[in-house]
Amino acid sequence: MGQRADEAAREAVDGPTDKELLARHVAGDAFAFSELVHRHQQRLWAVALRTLADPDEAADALQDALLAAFRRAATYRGEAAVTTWLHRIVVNACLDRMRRRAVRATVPLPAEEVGPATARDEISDRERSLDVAAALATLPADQRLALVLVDVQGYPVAEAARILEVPTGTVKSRCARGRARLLPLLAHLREGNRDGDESVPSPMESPDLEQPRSQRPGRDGGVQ
Amino acid sequence: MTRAEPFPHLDADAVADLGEDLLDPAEATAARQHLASCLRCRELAAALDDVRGRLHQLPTETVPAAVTARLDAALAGERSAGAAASGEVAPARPVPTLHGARARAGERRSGRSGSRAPQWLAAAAAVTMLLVGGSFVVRGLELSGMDAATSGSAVQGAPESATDGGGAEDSAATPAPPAARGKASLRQRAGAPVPVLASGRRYLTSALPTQVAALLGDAASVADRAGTQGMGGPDGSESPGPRGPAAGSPFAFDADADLLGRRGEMGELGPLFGTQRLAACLDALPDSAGRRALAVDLATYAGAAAALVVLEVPTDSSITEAYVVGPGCRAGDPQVRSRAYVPAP
Repeated sequence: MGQRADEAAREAVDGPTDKELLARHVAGDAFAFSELVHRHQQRLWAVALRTLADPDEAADALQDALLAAFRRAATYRGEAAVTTWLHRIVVNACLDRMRRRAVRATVPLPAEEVGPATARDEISDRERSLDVAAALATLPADQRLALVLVDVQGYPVAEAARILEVPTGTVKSRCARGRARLLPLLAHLREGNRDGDESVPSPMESPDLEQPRSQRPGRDGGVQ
Repeated sequence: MTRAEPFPHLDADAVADLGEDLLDPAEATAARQHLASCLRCRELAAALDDVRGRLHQLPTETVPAAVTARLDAALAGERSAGAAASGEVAPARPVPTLHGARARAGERRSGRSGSRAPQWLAAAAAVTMLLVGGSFVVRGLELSGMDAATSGSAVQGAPESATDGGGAEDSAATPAPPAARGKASLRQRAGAPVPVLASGRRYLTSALPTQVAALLGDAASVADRAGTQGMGGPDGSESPGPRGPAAGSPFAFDADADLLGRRGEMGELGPLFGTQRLAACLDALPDSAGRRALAVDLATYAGAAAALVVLEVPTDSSITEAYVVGPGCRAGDPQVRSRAYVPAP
């Protein structure tokens, strides 16, 4: 199946591109912007939620951002992808929120109820997620944003750099520092079972193991 | 090993920087040499990998319905404020609900490039839609549930398909061209069958980019073979016999996978090894509407059976989106274990 045929089929099914939608919105199409939002709100929500670690704040930030994008659409110059531009606006709205609420001693955990009678593993998975999300929320904003985009959301470093409007090296550095900072905060998760593998003592506590662990995932640079 | 370390122990920052290739060459060489001989620092590196893995395993929280509704309402308010300010006639019912917006999205998506309605027609359609309201939504839902067999013939114009909804008003709502089709399901949208492999590979969050690239390479050869031989799916209900061409099957099962499936050796992934189940699973993935699946691999993740699904990213051809899903992946519960955007090969 030729690539061109694929593209033609995709075009027929997917309809207007993001840029076309944004242009229609600027030209007065009343519903183009809503469609754009529905296409991407899942990812934008995930970024806001993981960055702010609070669903109410995330909803506020997302609303601020989308209204700003709605109004500012005419200033979009098309040099970045529309998704990049939208992410940038969401990120800035999150930063605004963080500044506004200033420094707090503790960051509220997402108010989530524990589901009814789930299996033991699922509960501990959930607890682990809450721990990780809370630890992430203790990081400085720049490190947190870099990690949310690259590690949590899995965006390529180059895309995160475009969103954050910094060089890729800066994103890498923020990610590296953020991970190092999370290390002690998440060490307790490592002492239990890891992915169902045999348990491994924390590196800080047992420096003199005899055998290296087999099948250690390669330290490839991941994305990029 | 305990005496005369070739380099003092590395701290977490240094190991993290090394992982991101941020050390200068001399430092990096020294650090690598040290890592090669120092278990403690290797464990530190592993722990940092683990941090990364844990971040990546944070579950994807879907947008709460209340938030979606709130965003829709805020945008609607913005829209009518803008219309009022510019002297246009504000819509009588200014709240394009969540469902209204989705129905419109479905309609737009079905539009052919090059044959789009002029702006004023789109505006007329918008107003009409507000008049017919609910019936439009009903129509959208019906279309979205339409079967592959019928939707193909209903693509063009199709005013007759509108008669069950809003009658005369509804057919007036069709100046926006091809108004049918709605949300195409993953099954029918793939021009070519989706290659399904059973590599049994152990997927790792930290290695997903490399592993997905390898998978897509394998998938391409499966797809080629499927193209020439007409491979069928293993689903008894849809595939007439062993190796049957299964015309229109949405999946091309790799020979190995097919064999294992027939022998019942798919282990925990057995439930996913069927055309209908797999299609339902793909459709259940968040935001999968209108996107092509590039490959499926039955494999393991975090020590348990899992399937890797690679979806195209329609807005950015330089990346693909990889989902790791559990064996019970189904409508309403895709069991997403991990997810990453990875560079397209």
